[in-house]
Amino acid sequence: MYDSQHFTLDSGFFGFIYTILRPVEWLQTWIMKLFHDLLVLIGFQDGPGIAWVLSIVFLVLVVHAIILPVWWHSMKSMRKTQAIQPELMKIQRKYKGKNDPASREAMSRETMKLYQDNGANPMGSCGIAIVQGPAFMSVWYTLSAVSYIASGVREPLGAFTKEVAEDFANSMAFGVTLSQRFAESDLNGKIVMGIFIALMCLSLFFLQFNNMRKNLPKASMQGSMYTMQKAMAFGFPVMYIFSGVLFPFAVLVYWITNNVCNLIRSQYQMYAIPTPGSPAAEEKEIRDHKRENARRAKAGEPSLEEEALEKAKEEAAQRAESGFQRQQPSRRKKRK
Amino acid sequence: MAGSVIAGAMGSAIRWYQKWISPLSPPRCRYYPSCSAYALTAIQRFGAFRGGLLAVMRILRCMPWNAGGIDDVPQRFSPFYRFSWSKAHEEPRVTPLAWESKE
Repeated sequence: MYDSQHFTLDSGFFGFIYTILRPVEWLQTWIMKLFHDLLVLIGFQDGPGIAWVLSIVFLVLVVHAIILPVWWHSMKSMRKTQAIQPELMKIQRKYKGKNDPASREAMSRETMKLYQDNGANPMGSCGIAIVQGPAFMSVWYTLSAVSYIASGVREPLGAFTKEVAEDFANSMAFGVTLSQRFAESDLNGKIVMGIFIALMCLSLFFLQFNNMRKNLPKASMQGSMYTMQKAMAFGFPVMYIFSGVLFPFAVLVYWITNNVCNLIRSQYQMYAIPTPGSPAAEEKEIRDHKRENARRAKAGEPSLEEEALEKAKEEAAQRAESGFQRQQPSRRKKRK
Repeated sequence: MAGSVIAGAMGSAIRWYQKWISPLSPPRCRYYPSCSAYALTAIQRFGAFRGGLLAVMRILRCMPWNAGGIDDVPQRFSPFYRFSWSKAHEEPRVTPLAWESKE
C-alpha cells in the first residue's frame, strides 16, 4: 500500500491524469512557497517550521476563493428560482397526477423554458465539480509528493526543490512532521493524528447530516432516495477513517481546512437562502418576522401582529354594520 | 461494422452510468435533456465519433455562466447547431416530438 521507494501516484492511469494536471501542481507549489516566504519576511522561522503548515492552509483558502464566485453565482440564481416559485407551482398543478413519460417530459421542458426565460437555474451544474475536482486532486498530489521529493525518489516539482521539500517534510505541528503517516509514528503522533482524523470525520458528518436534516423539503424526507442519502452521510466519514490512516499529515491538514471551509459555506447558504419548504426555511421565516417587528418597534410603527389585529377588528366592525350578506354589486349605467 | 460496436459500447456505458452513478446525486442538470440522455441520443443518431463530439461539447457548455434550458440533439448534424445562422439550428421545443420514443 505505502512504499517509500516508489511514488504510487505517478504510475498507472492516475499517473497519466496527474501528468496532465502538472501546470496546476506547479502553480500550487509556487503559491505555497511564496506565502511561506512572506511569512518568513514577517518573522516566522525559516526552514522547517509552522510557516509551512500555514502555507497549506493558505493554499486551500486560495482554491476556495477561486471557486467562491462560481458558488455565489449559483446562490444568486437560486434566489431567482425562488422568485418564480408561483409560476413553477402553476406548471406542477397543470401536470398533477399525470405520470406517463410524455407528460413528464413536457413538464420538464416547460420548467426548463421557465428557468431559461427568467435567467434562473437552480442546478449547480456539474461544471463546478469538473473545475473543483482537478484543483483538489492536484493539492492532494502535491502534498503527497513532497516526502518523495525530499527523499530523492521523485524529481523536484515547481518550487519544491529537494532542499525546500526537506524543509517542508520536516516541519512540525503539534509534534508531528508533515510527512509523517499514522502507521509509522509514535504514540504522541498517533494521538494527534487520531484527533485530526476524528475532527475530519465529525466535520464531514455534521455537514452532511445538518444539510439533510435542515435543508431538505419535508416532502422529500422519505423514500429510497432519502435512505440512500442517509447511508452516504454515515458512510463517507467512515471511509475517511480508512483513508486518513494511509495519508501523510500534510494531507490531513489540507482535508480539515477544506472541510471547515465547506462547512462555513453550507451553513451560510442554509442561513441566507434555505430550500423552500425545509426546516431551515421555516427558521428563516421566524427570524425575518422577528426582525421586521424589531424594525417596526424602532420606527414606532405597529408590529405585524398588531397590524393584523387592527385589520381583523376593522373587518369585524364592517361585518357588524352591514351584516354577513355579501353586498351585491350595483349595476352600472350603460353608457350610450 | 467497427463503428457501431464502439457506439454500442459507449451507449451501454452511458446506460450503466444512468443506472448506477447518476442516482447517487440529486438532479443537477441545467439542461433538458440531461447530458447523459443527450449523449445517448446523439450517439444513436450520429454514431460514436460525431455523436461523441456533440456530447463532449455539451458537457463543456455545462458551466455556471451558461443559462442552460432546453437543448435537444439536432436532427441534422452540425457542431455549430447552437448558432442561429446554422442550417441545423432548431428553436427549443416546449412540447416533445411525437415520433421520438424516449423515456
